[in-house]
Amino acid sequence: MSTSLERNQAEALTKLNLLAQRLVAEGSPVTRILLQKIAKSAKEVLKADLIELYEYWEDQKKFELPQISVGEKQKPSIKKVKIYDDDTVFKLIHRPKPLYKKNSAAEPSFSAPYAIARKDRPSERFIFREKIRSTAAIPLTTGNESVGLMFANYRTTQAFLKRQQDLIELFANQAAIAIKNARFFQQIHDQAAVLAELNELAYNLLSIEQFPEVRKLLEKIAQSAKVVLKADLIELYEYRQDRDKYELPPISIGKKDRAFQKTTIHQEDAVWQLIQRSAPLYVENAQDNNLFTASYIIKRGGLTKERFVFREKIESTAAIPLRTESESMGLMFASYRTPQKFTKERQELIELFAKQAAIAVKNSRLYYYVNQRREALTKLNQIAQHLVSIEESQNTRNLLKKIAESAKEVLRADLIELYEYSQDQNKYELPQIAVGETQGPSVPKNEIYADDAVFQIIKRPEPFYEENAQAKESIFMAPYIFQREDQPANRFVVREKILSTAAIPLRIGNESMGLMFANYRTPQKFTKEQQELIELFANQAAIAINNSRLYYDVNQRQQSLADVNRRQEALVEFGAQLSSKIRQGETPIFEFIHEQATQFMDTDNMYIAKYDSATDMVHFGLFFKNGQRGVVESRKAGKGRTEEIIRTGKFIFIATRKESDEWYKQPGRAEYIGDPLASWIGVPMRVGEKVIGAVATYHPTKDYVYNEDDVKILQSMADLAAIALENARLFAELEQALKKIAESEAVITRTSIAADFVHRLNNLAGTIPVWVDQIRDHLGSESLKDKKLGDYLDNIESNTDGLLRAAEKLKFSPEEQDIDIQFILESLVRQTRVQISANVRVHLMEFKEKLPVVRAVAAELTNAFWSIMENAIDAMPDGGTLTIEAKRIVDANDKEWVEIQITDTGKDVARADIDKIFLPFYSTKTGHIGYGLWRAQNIIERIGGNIRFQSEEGEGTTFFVKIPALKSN
Amino acid sequence: MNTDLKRSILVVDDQDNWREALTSLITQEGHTVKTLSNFEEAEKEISQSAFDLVILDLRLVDTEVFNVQGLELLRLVKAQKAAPRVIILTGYPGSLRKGVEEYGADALVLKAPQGSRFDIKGFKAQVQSLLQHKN
Repeated sequence: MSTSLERNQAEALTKLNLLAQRLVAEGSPVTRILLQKIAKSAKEVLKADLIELYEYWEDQKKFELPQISVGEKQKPSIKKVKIYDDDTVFKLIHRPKPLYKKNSAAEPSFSAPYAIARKDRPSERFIFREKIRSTAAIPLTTGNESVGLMFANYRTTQAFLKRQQDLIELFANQAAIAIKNARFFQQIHDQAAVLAELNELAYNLLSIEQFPEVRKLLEKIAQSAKVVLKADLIELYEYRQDRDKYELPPISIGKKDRAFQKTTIHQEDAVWQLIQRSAPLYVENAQDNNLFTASYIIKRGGLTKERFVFREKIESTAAIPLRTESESMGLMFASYRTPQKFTKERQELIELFAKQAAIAVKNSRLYYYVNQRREALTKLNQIAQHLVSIEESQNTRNLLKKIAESAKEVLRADLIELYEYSQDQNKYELPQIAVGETQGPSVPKNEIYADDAVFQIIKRPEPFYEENAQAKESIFMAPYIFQREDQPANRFVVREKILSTAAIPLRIGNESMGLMFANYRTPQKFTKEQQELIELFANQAAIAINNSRLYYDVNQRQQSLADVNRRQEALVEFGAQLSSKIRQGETPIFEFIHEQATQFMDTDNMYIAKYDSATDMVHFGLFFKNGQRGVVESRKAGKGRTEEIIRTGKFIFIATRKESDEWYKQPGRAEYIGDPLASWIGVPMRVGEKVIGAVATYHPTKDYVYNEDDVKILQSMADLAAIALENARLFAELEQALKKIAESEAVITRTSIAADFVHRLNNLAGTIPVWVDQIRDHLGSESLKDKKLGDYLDNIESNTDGLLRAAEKLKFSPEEQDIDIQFILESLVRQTRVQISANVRVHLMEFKEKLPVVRAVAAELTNAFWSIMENAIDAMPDGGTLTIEAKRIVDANDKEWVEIQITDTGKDVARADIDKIFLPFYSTKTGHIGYGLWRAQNIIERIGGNIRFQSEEGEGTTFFVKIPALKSN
Repeated sequence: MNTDLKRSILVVDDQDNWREALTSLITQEGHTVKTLSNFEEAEKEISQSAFDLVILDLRLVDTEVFNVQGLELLRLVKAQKAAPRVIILTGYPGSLRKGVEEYGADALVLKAPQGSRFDIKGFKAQVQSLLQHKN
């Protein structure tokens, strides 16, 4: 069973997972490369001998990779190690401020002897092995979290002027951002993994094990079954089709020799074969049946233990698959330790119990299905909330500004400008950073064109240096603007009067992310050294933009995830409220769908159609037009959109009037007549594979009223509603069935207790007259001349007679009596004519001769006839004639019968239904539980009769009831 | 009474008092009686020894609704080559007709017919008559 809700969830998860996987798989190396680049730049700019970057995990107190080291080292890099509170490096990491040591050689903690002084497992410790003179140790922090340490080490003494410190810290800041990013992605990945696991877990839980009340119900069914069926052992196993597995605990009523645990079953196993059967299996002598014999088990050799085997010594067993239309849900065994005959009556009784169990399991699964989703969604939501709350730590704009400011200062430029460029939109975006005096305002973000100067610069892999822009016809000159005839105002132009400019594309890998201008109002010579410096700043800016994009990307996804969640939350609530409406019937469910859909979309024009496959009719349970409730007549299924949805199980989404007209022109579709249609969504109501109807909403004139999200929401709602409708039906069926069971049980109990008592009493008291007779015989006629002794014996006999008579009266079961069928049929027909609708005529054929008397319980027999007549009347909803005829017949064996024919002119019993018509709870009628024909058959067969039927296409159905005549004595 | 007609009779009934009472009535008539109380024993006995008459209680298992065991025994007895006559003896007339018709029991005797006492004379006469008309 797959709903759109489930798919949405899976989709969100997959996206999250993919994102996280991509970032972790590619992100780590990227982070490392970034860090390496930062370290390398730092070494060059800071003219340090050795730059080292360590990542630190606060919760583990451990240094981790990547440990970046740029510069010559005297000793190899240390591996990742645990650090201790009293380690120098620990203190450095936790400093709020950077530490600048101008002469660390004087500092014992930084010198080699320090390492040696540590006696306590120094090899595991983080020690400073390098001989360095000066060091800058910058804690890498984001917010309150320490994520690492950057060392800028010098083998010569350094002054660490303010400007140098700023520069060092700028690099450290970059490193911190890179690490933080990497961690953030890891976190997402972990959460996605946890969520996936959680889902898997929830999926596993789908079993009656989780439902004590269902278990109780099943146990009750099993107990009743044991009593009524007189079985030695009733066993119910739940089966998971998707797992090929029985789930514990099975329900077992009766004494067992061996216990059994849940296990995987295999295709060659006996139970597999039993489950796959659509029909029950009755084994009257299990010893003769290969599946059930001990040798079967032994043949299985080493695998026996893992396998489902029959360990009980049973003589007879009935194995009934618990099934709904398409699904195997388990198996019921009614096992006997004595040989049994499974007569038709017994089989029916057994199958009745199995049917109960199947309904209970099915219901529990449907309920669980809803609950499980609710739980998974709640978790998803919690995680999404967590993701949203992660601080947006980067103020990219501020950072870029800082970079620009540093650049201006270091490069002595007049104007530093930074533009971000969105490759996918071909557009400049904020932040547009300008540091320095400008002659005019910054340009608004505008589209740029392929032939624009900036575009060409951005696309360049290499920086562009213009040392004297005025000396030639440069793309930067004002005349350039005027040469553009096509809307130059909207174009990105360089308006500043500048003489020299360095235009550096901001790139990471193949991606262009923007442009940095270092502008000079005086001519410049861009030496190689100066170029490197400019490019270094550009590199910083590129990293900053890249970082912010990664964050933005994640945030975007969080946002869309949050949207999905809000919708899903609403849907879960919708599902929960729906389940409370199960008892109220269909209309409240329809109204609720409309009410809820209104929160999401335009539902002024909406309808819900239900499809009845038995009659091929479409019924409109709810209809709204221009916001007004209306009524639409049911119709025979045709070629409209609703029918197409029902037929295919697929939604139809139409965005415009034009599309709508096109739709109807396709072959196989009816020409559309009626009010105009523009925007239109229709979704199927699905329960598993079955489509039970469709929900549609539309706008007659406006285009684009709905979007894809609306389709998804409506589909989710329709699926939930379908389950609710199906549940409502199953619920009613279950209640009815349980009521029937309870009734028949009560009767069985009362009658069997009474009959049992009478039977025992008859048995015991019955021999008293024998012994009296024997005493008389023994004493002989002489002794009996003693009048008193004879009287005593007479008294014993007459008292016994009294006892037997009293017992007979206790018999509860109604007496069979001699019955005149003509009388019964005549009175039944009279009553029927009064009770049924006028469009059915009831015709009782004249009796040609006096019918023989039959022997039966009058009330039961009347009931049986009524059940058949009722069935016939129900088959003629549009009216017709019911004809009843009874006659005496004599068969080939000279046996005398009464045959009653009950004929209707209604629709035929469908071919597929023939086998089922006498099954309990089978019915083609809506709102009826098919119990009547089953009961009728039982009654008639019990008195030695039989019942069969014949159906002629277009002519109706005739039931033939044959009852043996009572032989005249 | 009639020593010429000394025959062997099998009685199958799960009730102790009836086994004893029937034994007493039959031996009084000069026949030998073997009594058994359950399906398994009876099934074995039938296959091993020949009897002139079998008196069978249909309900051999107290809790069995459908008298499956009694009917099965009747079927087994009648399936033999020289099948003995069978009297069905029961305290529960409701379920008899079908079994008697299908498996061909020769007579039907109720332990307590319609709330009145067991008909001793009728029973003796029935036994005698069936033994005389033994196939």
